Amino acid sequence: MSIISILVYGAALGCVLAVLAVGFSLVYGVGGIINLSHGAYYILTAYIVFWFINANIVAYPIAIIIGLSLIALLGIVTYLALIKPIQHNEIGVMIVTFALAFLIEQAILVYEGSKPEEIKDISLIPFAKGQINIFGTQIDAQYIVIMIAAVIILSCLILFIKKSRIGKAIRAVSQDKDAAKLMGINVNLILMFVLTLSAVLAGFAAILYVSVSPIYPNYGWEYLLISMSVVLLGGLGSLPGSVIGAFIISFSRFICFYLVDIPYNVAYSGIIYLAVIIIMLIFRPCGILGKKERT
Amino acid sequence: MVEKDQNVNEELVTEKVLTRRPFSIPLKNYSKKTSKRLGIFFKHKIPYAESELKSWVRSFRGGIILLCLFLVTLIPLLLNSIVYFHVFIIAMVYAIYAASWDLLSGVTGQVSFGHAAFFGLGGYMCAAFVKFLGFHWFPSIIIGGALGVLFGLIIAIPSLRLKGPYLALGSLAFSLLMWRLFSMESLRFLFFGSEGIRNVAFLQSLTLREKLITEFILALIIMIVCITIMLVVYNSKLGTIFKGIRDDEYATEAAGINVTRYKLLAFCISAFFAGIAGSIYMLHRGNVKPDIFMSLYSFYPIIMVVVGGISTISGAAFGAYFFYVLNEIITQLCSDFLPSNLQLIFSNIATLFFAIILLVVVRFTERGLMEPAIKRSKDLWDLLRGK
Repeated sequence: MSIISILVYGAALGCVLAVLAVGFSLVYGVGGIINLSHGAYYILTAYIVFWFINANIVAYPIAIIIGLSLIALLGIVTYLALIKPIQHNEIGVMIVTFALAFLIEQAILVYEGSKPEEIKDISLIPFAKGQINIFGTQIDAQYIVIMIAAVIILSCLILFIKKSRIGKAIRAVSQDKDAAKLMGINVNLILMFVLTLSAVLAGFAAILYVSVSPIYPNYGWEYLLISMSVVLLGGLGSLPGSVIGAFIISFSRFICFYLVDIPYNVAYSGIIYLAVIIIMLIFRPCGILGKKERT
Repeated sequence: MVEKDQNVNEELVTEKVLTRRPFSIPLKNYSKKTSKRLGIFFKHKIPYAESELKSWVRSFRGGIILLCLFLVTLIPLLLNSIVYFHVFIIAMVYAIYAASWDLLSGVTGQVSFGHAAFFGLGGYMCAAFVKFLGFHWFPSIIIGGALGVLFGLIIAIPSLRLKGPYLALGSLAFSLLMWRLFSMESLRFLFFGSEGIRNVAFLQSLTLREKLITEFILALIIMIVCITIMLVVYNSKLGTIFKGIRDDEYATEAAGINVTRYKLLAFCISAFFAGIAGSIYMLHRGNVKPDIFMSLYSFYPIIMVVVGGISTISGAAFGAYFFYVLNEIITQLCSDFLPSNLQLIFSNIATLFFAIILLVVVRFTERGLMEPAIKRSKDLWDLLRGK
C-alpha cells in the first residue's frame, strides 16, 4: 500500500460514510429519533442490488432504482407504523428500530440460508472498468466514480435543504417542532420525508460502496456503529460535522492499516470506530462541531 | 403502657437507621415469636419474611409462579428425554439473564443494548478459571459473576454521565468491541482467538443423562436463588430507589439520594447475575466462542422482558421460557416437516418470527403480554371460584 492508495481508498470510503452518516444525523437532528435500523437499510439495499444483478434479470441502473424505491418504501412504512405511534418514548423507538434491524438481518439470513460472503461479479457493472494510473499507482477506476457520485449526491442534498421550500420546512422542524406546527408545517409529513430521505441516502451509500467491497449479513451492525461513530465524532445533528467525521474515520482506518504490521492491522483498523465511539461518549458526547447540551 | 412506649422508641430509632441502610424495611408490628423462628440473621433485615412469604404464596400471582415452577421442574423429569433437559436448562439460563437485564433497564431505567458483554465475559472468565486455573466449577460460577461485576463497573463509570440513547449506543458499542477483540486471531494470547475456549471439563465422570439431570437441578436451584434475590431487591427500599431513578432522576437526587452510587450498584447487581447466567451457559455447552458477544444475545433479553412485562422480574422469567421453548418448538417443527433443502433456509425463521413479535408487542402494548394474561386468568379464576 502506498500513500496514493491510502489517499484514494480513504477518500472513497470517506465519501461513502459521509453519505451514510448524513442520513443518520439528519434523522436525529430533525426528529430526535435514533434510527438503529440505519445499518439494516444499508445491507438491505446492498443485497437487493446483489440479487437483481447476480440473477441477471435487469440491468444495473434499473436494479439501483428498484433498490432505492424499496428502501424508500421501507422508510415510509417504518415511520408510519413504528415510530410515529411511539414517538414520545425515546427508548421505545430505539427498541422498535433495533427489532426492525434484527428483522431485516434475519430475513436476509433466511433467504440466503447461512452466512456467506457475497463476492460481487464486477463485470456486470457497466461503469468504469479497468484501472487508471495515478502518480504511479494502479487504482480501480471505480473509486473515482464513487467519489464523484458521492460529491454529486451530497451537493444535491445541501442545495435541496438550503434552497427548496421543503428544505426550509426541514430546517424549521429541526429548530423547533412546535413553532413549526404553529406556522402550518405538517411536522409528521416532514419527519416521514426525512426518514425516507435518510433511508435513500443509506441506499445510495450501499450502492456506491458495494461495487468495491463484499458484504455479509451481519455487517449491518458494523455499518450502524460506523455511522454512529461518524456522527458522534462530528456532532449529532450537525451535517458538516458528519462529513468531517467520515473522512477522519476512514483515513484513520487506512492509515492504521498501513502503519501496523501485517497480522494485526486488519483487526486494529477494524476496531478504531468502536474505540472512537467509546472515547467520544466519555469525553465529549456532543462531538467536535456539536452544541454542548445542558440537560 | 411501658411496652407501648418502647415500641415508639424503637420506631424512632429505626427511622434514623433507615436513611443509612437501604435494605431495611420499615419495622412496625415486630413480633418476638417471628424473630425466634427465623433467627438472628433475618431479624434486622426482613423481620416478617415468614408472613410475607405466606401471603405471597396465597396470592394469585404467587400461586401461578409456584405452579409454573412446579411444572418446570416436573416436566423434564417426568418426560425423561434428553432434549427437554437441554431446552429447560438453557431456558433457565436465559431467565436469569433476562431478569438481570430487566433489573438494569426496566427497573432502573438504564437501558443497555449490550448486555451480551456481561453474559459473554462471565462465560469466558468461568471457562478460563475452570480450564486454565483448574478451579472447581462452583467457585468458578461465582467468580464469573464477580468478574462480571468488575466489567459492569468498567462500563458503568463512563455511562454515568450518559442519558438514554447515548447509554444504549455506548453499551451496544462496548459489546461489539468485545466481539471484535475476542475474535481477533492476532491477540490470541490474551483473548483466546476466534474459536474461544473449548472442552471445558464439567462433571465429566457422569453419564450424559446423569450429567444433564445434575445440570438441570443445579440450574434450577441457582435460578430460584437468583430470581428470589432480584425480587427481594425489587420489593425493598433499594428497589424503590431504583424505580425512582428510572421515573425521575432529578427528583430522586433532590430527595437526597446519591443517584450515582445507586446507578453503579444497579449495574453491578445486573452484571453479577448476567455473569452467573453466562457461566452456567458455558458450563452446559462446554465451550465459549466469541459469537456470544453478538447483538443476537443482546436482543434475547430485550424480547424476553418486553414480552413478559417490562419492570417485573418474574415477567422476565416468563418471557424467557415462553420465548425459548417456542423457539425450540418452531425449530423442531421446521426440521420435522420441511424437506431438507428448505431446512437450512428456515433455521433462522424463529428469530425472524420473534423480531416480528417484538415489533408488535412494543408497538401495541404498554406492559408486555404477561400482565394482561395474568389479569385475565385471575378474573377467570375468581369467576370459577364463584366470587
